[in-house]
Amino acid sequence: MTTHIDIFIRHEGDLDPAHHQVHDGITVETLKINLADGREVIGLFLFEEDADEPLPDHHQIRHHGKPHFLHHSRCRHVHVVVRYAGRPVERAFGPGSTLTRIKDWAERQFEIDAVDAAELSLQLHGTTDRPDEATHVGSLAKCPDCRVVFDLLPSTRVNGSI
Amino acid sequence: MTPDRAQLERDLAAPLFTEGAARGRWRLITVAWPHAIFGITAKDKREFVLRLECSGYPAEPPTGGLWDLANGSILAPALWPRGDAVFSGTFRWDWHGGAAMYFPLDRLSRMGHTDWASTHPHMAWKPERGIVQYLSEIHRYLNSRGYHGVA
Repeated sequence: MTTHIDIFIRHEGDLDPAHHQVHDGITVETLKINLADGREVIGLFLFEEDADEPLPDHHQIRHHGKPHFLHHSRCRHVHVVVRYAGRPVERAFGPGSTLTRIKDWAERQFEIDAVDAAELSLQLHGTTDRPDEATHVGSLAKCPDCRVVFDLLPSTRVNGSI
Repeated sequence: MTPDRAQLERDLAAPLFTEGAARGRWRLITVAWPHAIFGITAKDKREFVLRLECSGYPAEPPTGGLWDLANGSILAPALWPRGDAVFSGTFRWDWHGGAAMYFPLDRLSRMGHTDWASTHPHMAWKPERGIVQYLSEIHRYLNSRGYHGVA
């Protein structure tokens, strides 16, 4: 009996994940071809979530009892800038990096107390959008720019007159 | 089936919702229209039950609060999660008797709070993002530094 694997794939420049069921042992190369749906696959990468390096074409995706979370992109890396209190920090991340990973990294860079500080959120610079923590940074970027700028902002109490 | 219920059921079957469930962030417990009941996982792995009334979905956001499944009632105040000022500003059992979360994504709470559109624009309801918008924000509170568990 063939074992099927649940894969959730997030794509470059797209906030909505897609769900796929594939057979145990499918190679990355085959999965890329399936995702391309007849289009060219050269220059497309698949990443495990939170990994900085793409999966090699010969890699087999194996059943391990849990779903896989992948990212599909033309960006090899996404250049991320996080600004806080007038200071920027920046580095390249794999496009499948979650905003949870990026926020944790930025808080360490800014030496923000992990216990006592107010909760902070990543907001896309120049907008009022604060994407969900599970968002892949590559879903906010488009090739060939492959760059995202965030502001790190404190969460504020919801107040009202009633 | 009414259009609001049909759209809710489509959204509950969509990857945006099922991916969050696969991550263990939330789960659907049941739909008893017009209510949908979810379990939301906090950072200490405790699950809080959220009962949302979804009439008019998705043009209008849901409204609801923490629920006691065993008793079929709003969760007793002693069992509500505690937290810092930001957290407790939204998890208010004293607001409508605990029937609505006090934030801009809740249909009942946003009535009369026209200022919230400018003070909290990142929490403006977007019908195209649907129920996950409400669930992910509650999940964010329950997994924030401001969440202190249950007293």
